[in-house]
Amino acid sequence: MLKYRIFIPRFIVYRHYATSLLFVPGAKKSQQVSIVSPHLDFDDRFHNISELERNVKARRLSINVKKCHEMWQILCHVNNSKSTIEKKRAEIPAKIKELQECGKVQEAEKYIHQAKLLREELKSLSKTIWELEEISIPKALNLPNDLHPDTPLESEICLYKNDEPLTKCSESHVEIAEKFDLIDWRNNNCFFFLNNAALYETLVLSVVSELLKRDKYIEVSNSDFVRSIVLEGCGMSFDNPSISFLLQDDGEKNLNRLHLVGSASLPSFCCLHSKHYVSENVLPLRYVTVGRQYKPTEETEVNGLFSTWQETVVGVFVATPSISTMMDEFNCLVKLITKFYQQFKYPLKIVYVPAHKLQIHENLRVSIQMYSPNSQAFIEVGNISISGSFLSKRLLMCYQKSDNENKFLNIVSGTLLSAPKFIGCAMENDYCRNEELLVLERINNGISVAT
Amino acid sequence: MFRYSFHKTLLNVYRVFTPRKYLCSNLKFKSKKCEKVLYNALPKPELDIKYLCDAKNKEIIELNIKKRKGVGNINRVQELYHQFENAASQDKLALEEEFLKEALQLPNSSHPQLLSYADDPKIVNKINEKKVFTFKPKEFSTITKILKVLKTENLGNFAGHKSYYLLGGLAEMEQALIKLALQNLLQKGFKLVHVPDILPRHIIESCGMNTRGERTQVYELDSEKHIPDMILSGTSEMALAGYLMNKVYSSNDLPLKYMAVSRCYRAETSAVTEERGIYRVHQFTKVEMFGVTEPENSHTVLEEFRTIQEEFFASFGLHFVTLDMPLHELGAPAFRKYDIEAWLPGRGIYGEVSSCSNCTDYQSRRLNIKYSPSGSNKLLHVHTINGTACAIPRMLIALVETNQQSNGSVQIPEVLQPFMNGKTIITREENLPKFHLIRTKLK
Repeated sequence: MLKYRIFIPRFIVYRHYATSLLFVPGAKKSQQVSIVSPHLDFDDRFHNISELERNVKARRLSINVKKCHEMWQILCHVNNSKSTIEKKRAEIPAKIKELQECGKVQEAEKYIHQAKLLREELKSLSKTIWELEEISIPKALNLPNDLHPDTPLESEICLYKNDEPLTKCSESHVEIAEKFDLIDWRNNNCFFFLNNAALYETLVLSVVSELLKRDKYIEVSNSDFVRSIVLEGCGMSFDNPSISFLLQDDGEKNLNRLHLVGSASLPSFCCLHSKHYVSENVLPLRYVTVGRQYKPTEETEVNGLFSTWQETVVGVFVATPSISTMMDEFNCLVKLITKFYQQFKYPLKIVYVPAHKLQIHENLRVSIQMYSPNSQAFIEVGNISISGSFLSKRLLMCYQKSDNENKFLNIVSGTLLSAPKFIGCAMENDYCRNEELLVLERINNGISVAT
Repeated sequence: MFRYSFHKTLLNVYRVFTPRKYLCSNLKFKSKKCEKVLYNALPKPELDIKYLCDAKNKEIIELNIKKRKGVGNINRVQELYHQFENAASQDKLALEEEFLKEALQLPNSSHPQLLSYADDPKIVNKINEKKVFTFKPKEFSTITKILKVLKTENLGNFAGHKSYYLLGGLAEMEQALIKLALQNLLQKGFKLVHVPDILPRHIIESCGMNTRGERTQVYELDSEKHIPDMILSGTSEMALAGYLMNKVYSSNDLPLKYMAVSRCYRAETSAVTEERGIYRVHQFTKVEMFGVTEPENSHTVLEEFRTIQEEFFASFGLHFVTLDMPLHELGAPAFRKYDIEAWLPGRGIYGEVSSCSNCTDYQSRRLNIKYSPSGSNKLLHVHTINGTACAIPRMLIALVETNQQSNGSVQIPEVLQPFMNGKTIITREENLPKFHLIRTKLK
């Protein structure tokens, strides 16, 4: 009877593991409410171990895939054993009844005794399963999404680069903007866009969102707060203060706490569909929003508008029924936004980012980068990613066909334009060419071309 | 083309108010380090000690406190000041601190006219008549459910208590309202400022808002995980006041009129039936007006703000009343406050959609915002005025309930149509999803 327990190394059982809000093991169900039960597709994930290992290595993650797999196998094995015992136990009452009817009381007693032992064994196995689940599943949930074949393993792949000359500028966009009375810069958590800079911001965001709406995108206005579970669902650490702003505990000791992420962020879009299904008829669902993104970035001397706590951006989220529709939507969006950025004639490149720069939910990311003459580097001003069904399986974002079976949505998401980053790059480029800021004229030109 | 009229308006304003080329040498370069220090260090409040500590004023101040929710103790303030004046030099610092702590609790003085009001506000204006319906008007929540343009259900575990998502026509209306408000204000000479939504505690408190204790209305960042004492702004009035902190203006610069579009975060909640749905929420977008004036002009600017608000709401055909608020409704910073309450036909109540306040020198004395009168070397405190140009959720309730049709669709007010690509009506659209909760575990 002890044979099931000896499979579990003691070091696994007694180590302390980080809590998952997404997956609540049986032992914790009395203290912690299970909000979603993520779809655990680890059999598929571990189907090709060497590919998964290559993925983890390319992303430069410190995850021991073999160990994760081993733990998952143990859990599966114990679960199978439990099923066998349950099956065996289910047969006993009939046998007892049969024996009692034949008057074979002594033999029936044996079975009664065996049923008791099996019950004890099941109890013990359930406890073991809970312990194993607590160890193995949160770890396996940290495994990254599969890599898309187009994702480069080492360095970025350039999809587009214009011929605009890369100039040098001794002054940063913050210094330039201060000279033109366009900004009151205190630090990266506090700045005020003044005069035309505030207008540039409003204008350029409005132009991009109008462009999307013409392309059948639905305008939405989302929540700026999300709970920890959604961050975990998006593959982000919910207790890491460099990832998101955690709000002060309201004293209720709720593990599923509130974070300020901004309405145009991926987690906020995910809240809309989490634990819900929609009809296939409405797919693909294309959403666009103009809103905030909040990130607790570190301040550095040169970064200025490139690393602010608060950004106003155009965010998109597309929910599609299949991989092929997802790819179509992704390609259309990349084409549309490339055309938009080309109008401005600033040094621009659009690249596939290498695996080590991907978030764990991403299969593939296109990064839209503008050149900063002061930092002499390309700065990401926008991005578009595909995530397949990775997010949907974790947060149960589904659709249904007429057969009433829940299927997982395939997601395209991104930030099409970050206003502070765009304005920062535009000002530096304008200033080092002309010593005047023509960005508004360029936005205006952008509008005429867009119409 | 309707589509880009907003952009064109902005561009025209840009061309009118902005010279095409700036000469760098003519512009003042601000020291970054200096600004940083000024922002992080709260100036010492410069209260009107002469007025507050004159025994002759005790009675009127006491009456003011009593009528305004009773916060503050003038006896204690005057007593501490007396002790401070007579104290030995080594005790002065501690006494000054205690005195300031008490004196900062005192509310602003009040417009004398308000003393004659009873507990109820005085109706100073009534615009448009209540719309007559040929059917029983529905509530906002019923209409938005028919149109599938609002999601409020089953969000608590994911986006928090009372969170909401606007979709399609309703989200477009939100953006249209913001653009219309901005366009109106730009044409009236307001300057747009992008403000931060996360502010240091001292800025919020200097604007007269309590940020501590159980009944606080603010959200705070986790002080163990992040920089301590960072608060989510409840209104951009506070960020704008923080922007103006320690600034000195020439009287020729005044009045200055600013506007900001920001997300506002409020921890307050309500169990009152009339405030159900998105009437009182924890987060919303607001266009705010903020004025800086010489003391003698603050009344005029307050009236100007009120007129702007009234014209804005009247342009949608809404029925509303403007109320001069009684003393107990002012809050600590306001000298005078007008509220605008619009008729919400579905709920059958008037709901506050806007307000504006003259805070006189209450904020400028705490945040060191001054001006130099022409022909004088003296520095005096400016007066500040703030007002809501457009707070989205309640505006949406008023517009949707007022403009509803018998079939549940919503007529879009004419003034908003140019900002919604010429759309005239919000109908139930088939491309919007209907969300169904997944109740069982998936296999």
